[in-house]
Amino acid sequence: MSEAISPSALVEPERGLVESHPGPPGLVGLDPISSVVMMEDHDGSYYAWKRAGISGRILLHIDAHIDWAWIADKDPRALLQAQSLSQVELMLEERGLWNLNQRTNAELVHIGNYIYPALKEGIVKEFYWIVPDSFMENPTEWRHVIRQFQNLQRINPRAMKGVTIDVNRVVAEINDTKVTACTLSHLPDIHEPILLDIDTDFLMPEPSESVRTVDDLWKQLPWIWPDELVSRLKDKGVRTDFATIAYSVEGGYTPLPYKYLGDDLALRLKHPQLPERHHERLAHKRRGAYYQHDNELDRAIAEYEMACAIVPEDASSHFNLAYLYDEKRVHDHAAARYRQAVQIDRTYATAYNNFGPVYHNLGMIEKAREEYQRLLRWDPQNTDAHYGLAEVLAAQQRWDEAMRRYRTVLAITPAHSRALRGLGFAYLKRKQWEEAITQFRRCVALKPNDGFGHFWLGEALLQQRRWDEAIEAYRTALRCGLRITAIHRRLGDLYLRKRKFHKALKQYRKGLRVWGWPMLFSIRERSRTLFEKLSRER
Amino acid sequence: MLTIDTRLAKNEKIPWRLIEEEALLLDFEEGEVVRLSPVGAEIWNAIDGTRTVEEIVAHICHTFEVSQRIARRDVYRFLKQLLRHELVQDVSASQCSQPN
Repeated sequence: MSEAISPSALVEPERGLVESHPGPPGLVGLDPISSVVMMEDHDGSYYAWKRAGISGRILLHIDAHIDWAWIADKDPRALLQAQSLSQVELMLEERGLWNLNQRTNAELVHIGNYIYPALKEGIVKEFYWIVPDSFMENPTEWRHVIRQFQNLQRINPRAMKGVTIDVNRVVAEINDTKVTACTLSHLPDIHEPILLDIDTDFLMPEPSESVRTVDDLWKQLPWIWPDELVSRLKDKGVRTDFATIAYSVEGGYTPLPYKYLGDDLALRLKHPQLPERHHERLAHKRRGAYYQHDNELDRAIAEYEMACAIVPEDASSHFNLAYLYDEKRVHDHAAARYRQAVQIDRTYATAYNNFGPVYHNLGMIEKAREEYQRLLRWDPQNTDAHYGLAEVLAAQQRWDEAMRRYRTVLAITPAHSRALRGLGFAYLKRKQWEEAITQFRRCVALKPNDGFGHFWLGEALLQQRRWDEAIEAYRTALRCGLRITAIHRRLGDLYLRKRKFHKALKQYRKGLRVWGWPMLFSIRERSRTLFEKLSRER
Repeated sequence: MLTIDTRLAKNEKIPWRLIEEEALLLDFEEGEVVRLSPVGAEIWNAIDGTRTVEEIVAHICHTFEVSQRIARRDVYRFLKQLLRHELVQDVSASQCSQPN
């Protein structure tokens, strides 16, 4: 007999926000794990651990990304407490770690570094980064893993003394915490319950890899399925009392059609003996995915329809059916299924509900355009699709068409700051400076921390010879955290124009530190001119 | 414009401390740590919003036993830099406009 409950009821997604405390530890894949916290962004794990009062644990971070970077969180006022200048010098060796811009903790912690505060605060006493198997099979990817460790050591050699590389592992020590990168197969035996932290994107190949194997990203397959991962964890004897799972759809890491794999994982952790109907539903979905991969559209449709029949509120099956009906050119069915998916789960309305942004990042502009057009067939008023198309047109330097499309976005969503920035950029390219300034000003009024908005505003103001306003715009861009050589170069030029030679020199020096190679020689030239000028003044 | 009568005050937003005759300043606006040499630190210490530039020159002259000409040249050059970096501000005007 199958239970009449929905997948979401089984998983009880907690989004990393709801109070959750460790339950009794259990063997993954055998015992039910009572505390499984779900979230979209992976830094939710850090907050979930903190709320649960966890400390001194071994972390098993199963992810395609390390999610650990140094954070400039040291209070510079500590420098003023130094007992001697040699102590100051020693402290300043940790150059990238001082919070000289006075950012708050919430501003400092993000999906790319949340493990660092967990190590620092003693939540984690030992850290295993479990990488996808392909990382070790492919020498380029393995070198990339090693390089990440070496870069971390270069930034903070005092805290991270040594990096040991062997055939199967990379091991480092940060202060007194051991960090190991390896595949699941090379994970040593661990004799205590661990913190299990999984990113759904671990299950999927990198998009750049997928486009080499399939002609359409909708047809890609996971390299490992949730049941296989759980089974491997079980074979390794992994025990846990607290698991965190991130979907990581936003940003294009996990493809939305496979977001359900995160729920699938959670289900299998919480209910090692899956209720029959969910077992059947997931089997249909997997077969559907394989048929989709093999371009057997009718069979794929049949499988997903069966999954829907078992659990009608399964948003991902409806979503996959939208694609399949679209491919069959049954557009009204496709649109209806898309609407149904969004109705069941609002997160399916994300800007990452198509592969347009991924294709665009990979430089596959025509594929991106097709994706956005597909989405517009399902939802003609979809702002993200119109915006994506505008960006595609801008990438092709078709400025008039891009401007029309940005205006369409703004007609639907007047407060779309990125569309305002895009429109401003198009005006900038058409040398319509005043119009560009107007759009950039509207953009930064809506989103004051948009560094690029301020930067482009500075560029337009520069063209209008409004030096002081341009300086202010560039400086604001820097305060927003945008670190590009061009800003320092522009500021250097502007200070030079205003005969503030020392400020100019400082900006050129900063520009050199940002290491923009294409700009290097031009900056070097400007610095030389400035030195000569200063020498003449003396 | 820096003149002999100009009065400068430290930028209150800049935390600082003297360590072994040097001054360490935290410039959060620029995101930088500024280190001042012992002479720079002495000038920095002398900037209190009441002393004029000429009084600071006299103080440096006396402390480091250098000629008035050299002290004036170095102090002016240094104070201009502090002003450019907005580490100090000219408070002469505000003091003049204060009622008696």
